[in-house]
Amino acid sequence: MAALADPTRRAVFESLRHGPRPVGEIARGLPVSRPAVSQHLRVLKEAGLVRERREGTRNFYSVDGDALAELREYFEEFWEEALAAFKKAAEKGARYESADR
Amino acid sequence: MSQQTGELVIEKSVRVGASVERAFQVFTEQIHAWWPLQTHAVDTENSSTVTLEGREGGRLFELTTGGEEHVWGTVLAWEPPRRIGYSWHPGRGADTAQEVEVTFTPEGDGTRVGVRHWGWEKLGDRLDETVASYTEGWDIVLSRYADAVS
Repeated sequence: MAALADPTRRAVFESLRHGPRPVGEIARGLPVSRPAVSQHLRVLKEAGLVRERREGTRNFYSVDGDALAELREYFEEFWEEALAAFKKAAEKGARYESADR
Repeated sequence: MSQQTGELVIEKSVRVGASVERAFQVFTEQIHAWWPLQTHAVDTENSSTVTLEGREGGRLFELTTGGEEHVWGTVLAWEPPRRIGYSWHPGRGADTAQEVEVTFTPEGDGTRVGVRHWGWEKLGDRLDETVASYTEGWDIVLSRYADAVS
């Protein structure tokens, strides 16, 4: 699979990094025609890198990454770090508490 | 995708060597003393403190050195010393909020503090964008897809 090997196709793919966009908007930022962009999007979609969603009369394209898995990974680590810091603070307090007695 | 995001619940817990009352107080009133702002904040570079207003409807917010406020969420449940619940939408509108519940349960001579974090379906179409902003994950995404190229 060489879906990203073409530089223009890669540019099309990278233009989706900040969220879903319609074809016209993607094409505006690139020195290629709209049909060419559509063709690249079709290849990316077939490769499972991009997904398509219709909203009204426009088709929006977005990265078909495993966002959910990344979200889980990020927040599990987020809470692990936060709770570790909390534990330290709570136990420091508890030691002071018992030392006072 | 939205169905799956609706099913995602992050659950973590930690046992602390402190009473339930103490643990609750440190988690809420003293959140400024331990919350890792250098990594867990809207404006990590300028964030100076975080406050949790201890009442239903109270705010959880970050204050920057420039005096700017970033609201992270609103207290939905205030049941000292056993449970707090709050909405979670740092850097985003309240309409995209998740919910966080923190429980404090006696365990031996200490306390089990549990966190549940859910409601991801509210991110809707902003899921990818949000994940990218959290994980600065574009490099990760690209490196993953680099495998597809070779």
